[in-house]
Amino acid sequence: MQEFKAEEILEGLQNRDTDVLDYIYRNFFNQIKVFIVQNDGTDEDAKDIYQDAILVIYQKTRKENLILSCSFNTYLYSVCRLLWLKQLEYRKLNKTIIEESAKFIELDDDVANVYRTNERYMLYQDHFKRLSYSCQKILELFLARIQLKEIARILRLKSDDYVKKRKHQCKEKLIASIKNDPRFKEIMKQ
Amino acid sequence: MNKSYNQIEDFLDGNLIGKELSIFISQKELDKELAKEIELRFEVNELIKDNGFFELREKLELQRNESYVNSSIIKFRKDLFKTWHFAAASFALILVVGGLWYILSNKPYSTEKLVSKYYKPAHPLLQVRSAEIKSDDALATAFKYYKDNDFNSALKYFNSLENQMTAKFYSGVCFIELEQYDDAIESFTAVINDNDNLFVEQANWYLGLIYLMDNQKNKAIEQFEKISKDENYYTSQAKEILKYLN
Repeated sequence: MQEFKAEEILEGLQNRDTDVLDYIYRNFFNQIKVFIVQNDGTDEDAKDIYQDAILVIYQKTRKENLILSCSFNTYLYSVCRLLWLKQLEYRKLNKTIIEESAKFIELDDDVANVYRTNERYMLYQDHFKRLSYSCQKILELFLARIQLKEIARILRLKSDDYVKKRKHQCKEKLIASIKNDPRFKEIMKQ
Repeated sequence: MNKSYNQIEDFLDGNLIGKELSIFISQKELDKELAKEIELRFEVNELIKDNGFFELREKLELQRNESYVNSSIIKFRKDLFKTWHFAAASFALILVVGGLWYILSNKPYSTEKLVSKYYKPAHPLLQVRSAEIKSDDALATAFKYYKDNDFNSALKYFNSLENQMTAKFYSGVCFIELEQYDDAIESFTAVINDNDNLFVEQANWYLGLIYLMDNQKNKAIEQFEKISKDENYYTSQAKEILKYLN
């Protein structure tokens, strides 16, 4: 199987490269699973935490020039470790002794902040996907700064004004649907 | 919060200027609820713009599902070798081999699974426009039937508007639902050849799925390869399907 250096992994993540994602999973997931299962978690918890950690690292590579001072394996393990400790805290399962399955580094608060933003993103995304196809398209085109006239042409809507009106309706529908989700209040409390 | 949602959206879209903008900004500083609402709507916009996050999340989900299938197989193998009841194991092995032979020789199992995973009938459009009011009525009636899953009646109206690509596209979906695949292919091909409408990407996608439904594997591969080379909503899904098919 192809081997990747840490920089190549980060670049691959940024490009959502399937080979890189497979490589990370095959090489590093097991260690994370061992850590989580040893510390009161299940296989499913391990998969959740792994996914969350990959999304956190992806966002960090996009928002800053992430340069690792350790191996990718150690960084991923450290992110998963931090997210799992937060999860234990949330579940009120504070452990005094943590069983480690690998080396880790201390991470700054930014990782936890990115995770919280991702949680909100996932909630928004779930509701966006529930909108009608035409609503999704109109919002995407509008936010891509496509001119109203062009949107009207593409979506075969009668006028610029009508595009604006539809955009408004779709956005309000999305926001209302997000606010009605019980997860919304929960996430906003944090 | 005193500000209307319209004004917040205008602010986020960059449509507030001059005095109106400065008043809005100073109110935002004072009103925490307003600031929160702006933050929420801003983040939602950022999410919609971020195709990468969507794509990565889907890929991770797929990876998770694949690993579930693989680990189930591994677990089954471990359990099998643990037992001393060799005869029972042999019998199970015959069943598995038989099942695999059936799957490999008939193939519809994997194709059906793929289709059920990826096929969803298109949402009916809520608002449609055309040059003539009469056409609008026909389209609205067609969508009414379409929403009620009465695809035969919907087709009558869609077919009466044969020059409209919206109607052509949805007639294709109706044909899929009625398992009239040749007619569906004809409708989607017309939409793709027109190439000046909203439905080209979707029509290409459905065409690939029809080939899967109709067990035309080579044509399906060809179609999904074509989609995977484009940059649109269906690109990553086409690549995923190709992984299964190849």
